[in-house]
Amino acid sequence: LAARNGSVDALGQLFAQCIADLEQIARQQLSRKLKAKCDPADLVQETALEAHRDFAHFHGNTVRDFSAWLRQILLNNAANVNRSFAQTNKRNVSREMSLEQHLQRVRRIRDHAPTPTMLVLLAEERQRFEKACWQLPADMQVALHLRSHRDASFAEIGDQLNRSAEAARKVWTRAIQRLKEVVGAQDEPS
Amino acid sequence: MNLPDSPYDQDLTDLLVAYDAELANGRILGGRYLHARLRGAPPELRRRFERARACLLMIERVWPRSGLLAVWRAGEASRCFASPTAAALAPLPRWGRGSSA
Repeated sequence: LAARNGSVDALGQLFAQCIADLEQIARQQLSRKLKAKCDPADLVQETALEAHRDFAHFHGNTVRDFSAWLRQILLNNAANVNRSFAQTNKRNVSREMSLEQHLQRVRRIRDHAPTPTMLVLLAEERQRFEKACWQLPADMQVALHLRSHRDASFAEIGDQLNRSAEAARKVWTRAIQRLKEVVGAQDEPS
Repeated sequence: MNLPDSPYDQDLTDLLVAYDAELANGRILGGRYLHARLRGAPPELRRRFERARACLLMIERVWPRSGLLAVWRAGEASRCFASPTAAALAPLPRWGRGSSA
């Protein structure tokens, strides 16, 4: 595997080969109630992030080995999410909102509820976007994921990438630019 | 395929990080903010920033971080545009402080 020799592009391509399989498993593993709270795609992203972080611990030699390793990480993550949901599903006072907050939220949802067409368009856009993400080098994927899903600081992103905060800012900026190019290329008529 | 270094790479990073911080706080800033932030910016930097900003907005739409943006995600962007704070309109240092490493 070229990825074993430190090629981030090769690692990205490996992820791309496994993503459909992972998404299917993620959908199967999340309970129906939980799917409304946790997007299977997020679980896949989480898995990719962990796999990137722990890639040094992967000892296989083939794509099949890699796929099996990813699957195991995903299953562990899914089990954690299901367990966590079961534990916190009880009444949680700290998360309750005031009546006025609740009413504001209801009004906002009522006034701006998306139409089914909008939801379909958003789902398509998200699918196209995530497909483009998988074509980025692994370090860029990690930077984007941490920034958007974890609201991570650049120092934290740098820690994950073994780089300085300043270098992490640059990786993230380049990821944004590269992503725009990839999405643009996808949109061009073939 | 690496993007070529440009004297404005650092400026672009600063602009994007600042804009992303506003987005993370649920503030989608438009005209006044951009006018203030990009005052005197060279055309190349403006063009690169606008392209990257479009990408940031797309990311926020598909992976929203705040409740306000979740509303905007539903297609109501025009109602959610925020007014920039004084801090957001603060002048930036001179452009083109050297290419990035």
